[in-house]
Order: sequence, then structure tokens, then C-alpha cells
Amino acid sequence: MQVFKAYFKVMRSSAASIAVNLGVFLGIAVLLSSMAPETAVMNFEPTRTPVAVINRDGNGQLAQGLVDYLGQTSRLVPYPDDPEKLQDALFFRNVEYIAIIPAGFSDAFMSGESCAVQKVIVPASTSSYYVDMSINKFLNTVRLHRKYSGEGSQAELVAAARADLAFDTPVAMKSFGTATGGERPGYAYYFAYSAYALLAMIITGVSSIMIAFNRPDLYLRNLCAPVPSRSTSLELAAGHGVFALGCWAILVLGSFVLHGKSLVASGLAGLYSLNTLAFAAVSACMGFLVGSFVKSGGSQAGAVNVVTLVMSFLGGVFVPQSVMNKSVLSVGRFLPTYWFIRANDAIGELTGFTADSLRPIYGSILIQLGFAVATFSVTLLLSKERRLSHL
Amino acid sequence: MLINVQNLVKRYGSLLALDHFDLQVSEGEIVGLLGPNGSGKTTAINCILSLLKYDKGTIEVFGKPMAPDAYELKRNIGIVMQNVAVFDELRVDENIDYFCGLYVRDPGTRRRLVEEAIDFVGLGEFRKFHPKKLSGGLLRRLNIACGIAHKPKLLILDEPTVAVDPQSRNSILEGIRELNREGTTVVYTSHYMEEVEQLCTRIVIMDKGKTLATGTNGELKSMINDGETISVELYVLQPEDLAQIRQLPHVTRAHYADNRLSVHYDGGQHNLLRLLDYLKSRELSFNRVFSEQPTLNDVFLEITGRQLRD
Repeated sequence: MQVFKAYFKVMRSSAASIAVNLGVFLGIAVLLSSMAPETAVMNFEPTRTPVAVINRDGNGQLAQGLVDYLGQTSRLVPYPDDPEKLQDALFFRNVEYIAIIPAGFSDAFMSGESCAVQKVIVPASTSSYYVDMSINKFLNTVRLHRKYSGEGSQAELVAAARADLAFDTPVAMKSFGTATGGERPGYAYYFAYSAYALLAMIITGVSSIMIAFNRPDLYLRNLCAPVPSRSTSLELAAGHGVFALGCWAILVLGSFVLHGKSLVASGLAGLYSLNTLAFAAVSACMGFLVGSFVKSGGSQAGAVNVVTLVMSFLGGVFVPQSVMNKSVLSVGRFLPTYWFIRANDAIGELTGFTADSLRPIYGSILIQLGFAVATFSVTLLLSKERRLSHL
Repeated sequence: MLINVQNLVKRYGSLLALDHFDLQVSEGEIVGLLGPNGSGKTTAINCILSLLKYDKGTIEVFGKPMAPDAYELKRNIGIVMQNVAVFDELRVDENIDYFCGLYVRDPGTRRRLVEEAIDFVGLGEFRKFHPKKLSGGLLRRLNIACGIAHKPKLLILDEPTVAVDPQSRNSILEGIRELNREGTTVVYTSHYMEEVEQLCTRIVIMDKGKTLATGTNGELKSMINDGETISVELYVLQPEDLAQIRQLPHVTRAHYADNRLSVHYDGGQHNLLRLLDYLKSRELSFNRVFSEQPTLNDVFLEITGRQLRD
């Protein structure tokens, strides 16, 4: 186990760059988690826009009915019919909508004449649409009753409309998968970006070891020792495995520290961890490959950056695959990051643990493992070629 | 016989690196492989260690055929490579422990051997240093410590003193002598003839992959006609005097250039006395006088017609 023990002593020299990668990733993850809709929306409460109603149709029951209805759907803010004060209220955003019911509105509406509720709104206010909708809904309901229920008094029509509009659609919040109601939760981003962190950390660590043990003089010196090459390779492989597992464990632990509650509530922690574990295996094999080609620390840093960034960008780590160009995605299919993100997205969109819904996830994970096996085999072949070239 | 190499042939494409090379090393010897750069010394060592395949010949170590998987043989061989082969990432003590651990499994024994190796090469105060912090001489000592820590029966050193200051070189050579006194058989390659003369009990001179001559220092020098060379600083020497000097007993050749007379002998006694007597008799005034014994370079020159350090 001499090689295995030396593995982690040699690794000390790369500790700084690995720690920087981990620190940058965790920093970004914390930043994202503070911005992402992390907490699941468990309660629904309709938005109430602050509205000032100027009712100039003082005796009109229909107008009063409308004011009462707006009081239910919006937050009425009392203001006198003073243009200067109303403008101030809008300017200071004390109200976002001023509804002016003109004199004779109720009678004009009942007689079918053209009439309208005037409005003054904050420019580009989206909430004003909700108020428009409320006013239209009330008046259309009254118009419907007037047309099909025969002639009734204003009070009767308002009562009928209010009765109709009293029904609310019940909104129940359920937590499963994307518990934020369509928004990607923070932990989905965390696991997606973890691909970059895993690649950077593991390739840096593994390639550092490979560079050290592949240094020509050291390589020959080790061949002089009474230790079979296979044993040395196995001990190195065990070291790579333990190191990759350690990096994976740190990132999974980080996900529980940052998103533990929502992640556990989603029931998806196991799948996310499994997907990340498969990718850690891919990263270790990529590090094995990079370390076999790179000869010095200087070229190693360049190679790690190129491999990590190219794989991350083409695989959709930083930009969602849904918005990526099709030709870029078709290239990305040949990269394990593509399949990692694909599995990650599929996990986030899960609506149930059925065989059909899980199949694409396991399929993507298996493809990643296929990449790992292929990369490892190619590297072994190259190593054997180099070993034989010495003889 | 610890090493028995017979008829070894190694080709690199069209280049013949070892041309029917023979080497026999007995227990307790310090055998020096002496030859200019490119003469095949390192190739021969790499073949003996099974680091290189060869085209023809046989190699036996400890009486058994040497092969890449001859781990029991390798366990008793120590190797100090020409280039320093240590981990830059490990400290001095960790490097020695690593290489010792490849041969010795018992942790207690290994710890003791590592301490002994550190003491032996005098790296005690640098034990926690990383190799990049060590001077060239200290680095070479670390390289040696990594090769000897497991107390091998056979130690192969491939030019271990290249680019080492004289003080460190003497320390290294003295260390090798001590190892030999403790029972280690040593094969030492170098192109520094002075080192080989000082250190080795037997010398193999090689060039172009061939063994040119084998023997002790004295045996090799007796192979050539040259005995001592006497040089005298003279301001004036007439051609007839030079001709007379050439007629003196045992003189093989004499020449005068740059106010310096050089006279070569093939042996004999009182050569210096006879030469000075002649100069006095001719009233030729002279300054300094030098007497030089033949070197291995003279042997090499005699055999190949080239200088050892060409």
C-alpha cells in the first residue's frame, strides 16, 4: 500500500487549487441559493392592488356594488375627489390604480347606454390588469343577469352578481419535485453547477498524481522496485476512487447544508446524489486521461481549465439545455456533462417515481458510466503503450 | 557471481548501443564502468535492471536470469539513477520512506532503515525539506539515500555525482566505500576517471557499446606503453638538444612547445635525475619541473586514439 499512502501525501501539493475550486463553487452556490426561490410556496394568497375609487355616481346602487366588490378583490385606499391629491397618491405609489365612476353611470349601464369606468394608473403597472379584470368581471356578470334574468332592480342584479362572484377557486399547494410551482428550486441549480466543481476538483487532483507518478525518472525508478506494475496501477486507481468519493461527499454534504429542508422534502436527494456520484466517476476517469497526457503543472492548469469549461458549456451546465442551440446540443451529446445535466433536469421534473419516469434518468446515468469506462480503457491502453515503449 | 552479462546486444534502430557487451561482477567488488558520454553505460545498466529490452545476450543477477517480473532479485538491488528520481511533492524523509517501503514492508524496520539512511547521507537537518529547497549536492545525497535505504546486497549507481560540488562528491564517494565495507557490492558508472580511479576495485573501460579493457587501476595502466611523463619549463632548447634527449634511456617520445619540454617514458628508474643531469651538463637553465603518472585517460587514449572526455 506504499503507493496508496504516497497518493495522499502527493495530493497535498494540489490542495490549494482544489480548495479554491471548492470555495468558488460553494460561494456561487450560496449566492444562488439566496437568489433562487428556495423555500417552497406552501400557501396561496391573492395579490391585492391598492386602489382609490372616486364614485361620482353617488346614489347609483350598481356603482356602490362595484365599489364593494373592488373592496373584496383589491385594497381600497380612501382618497377625496381632488386631482392634485390623487396624482400625489399615484406618484408616491400609495395607490396603483384610480377608478373614477362617472355621475349617472348606474342608470346609463342599466339602460344599455355606452358608459365606462375611467381609470388612472401607474405607467407600465402590471397590477392594473388585475383591477381591470375585476371591474370587467363584475360588470359583465351584472350585464349577463340583466340580459337573461329579465328586468330587475339594480340592487337585485348586484346581489345576484355578488353571489356568483362569491365563489373562489380553491388553490392547494403540493410539494413534489419542482416545489416552487414551475421555478427550478435552488438545489437543482446546485447539483447542475456541481458538475463544474467536480470536474475541476477531481481532474486537478487526479492529474496531479498522474503527473507525479508518470515523471520519466520516477516511473523508471518505480519499475526497478519489487512491486508489480499492476499493483501500482491498482493502488493508484484506489487512490483516485477514494479521492473522487471524497469530493462527491463534500458536495453532497454541501447540498444538505444549503438546501437540506427542501431537498429532503422533495424526496429527490437520493437520485441527485446518484447522478452526481456517476459524474464523479466520469471526472476521475477524465483526470486519469488528462494526467496521462500532461507533463507539467503549468500545462496541467491550462488543460484542466479547457476540459472543464468546454465540457461545462457544451453540456449545458451554465446555460439550460432548453435554450441551447440544437447544433451545440448535438455536439454536447458526445460529452458526459450533457447526460449529467439531462439526468439532473429529468430528476427536477419528476412527477412520480414510476418506472417510465425513472427510465430516462437511469439511462442518462448509465451513459455517463459508459463514458467513464471508455475513458478509463483508452487511458489504460495509452499507459500500456508507453510502458512497452520503455522496454 | 552477482552479475553475469554475456554477449549483450542492444540496438536503437540502426544505432548499435551495446555491441556484444560482457560484464562480470563478483561479491564485494566496486566495479566502475568508465566511458565517455554515449558509450553505452546507462544502456547497459538499464538492460541489467530489465528497464530495456535487448536484442541478444544473457543477463543473470544473483545467479538467476533477470526479468521485469524477477521481484525477488529486485528486492536485493539498490539503484541510484543518473537523474534525481524523487517526488517533489514529498519531504526528504517521506521520499526515503516511500522508496524504502517498496522493498521493506514491516513499518518498524522501515522506520529504522529510513533513520539510518538519513544519518548515512547527512540529511538530518533537512529531513522536513522538500526537494526543491535542497542544493544540487543535497539532492544527489537524497537520491542516494532513496537507493540504499533498504540495505541492498547489490547497489548500482549511474553517474551519481554529475553536477555535484567537490565537497559533496567526496562525501558521496566516502559513503559508497563505507557501504562496500559493510558488504554491499557496487557497480558505479561514470565518465569522471578520477572518481573511478579512487573508488573502484575493478574498472571496465567501454566505448561505443563495447568493453575495451577490464582490470584494476594498475593493470589497466600497465597495459599501455606509457610510463611517467616529465615536463620541464625551459626558455630555450635547441633542436640538437631535443634530439639528444630523445636518445636518453626509456624515452619513447619528447617534444618542445610553448617553453615547455615534455618527455614520455615507457618505464625505468631515475628518469628525472638523468634528464636534469643532461640539462645541467648543457647549461640550460630551467624553472619548474613536473612528473605525472599515466592516467586512465592515457589508457583510453592509447586504446581508442581519443580523449575520454571528447
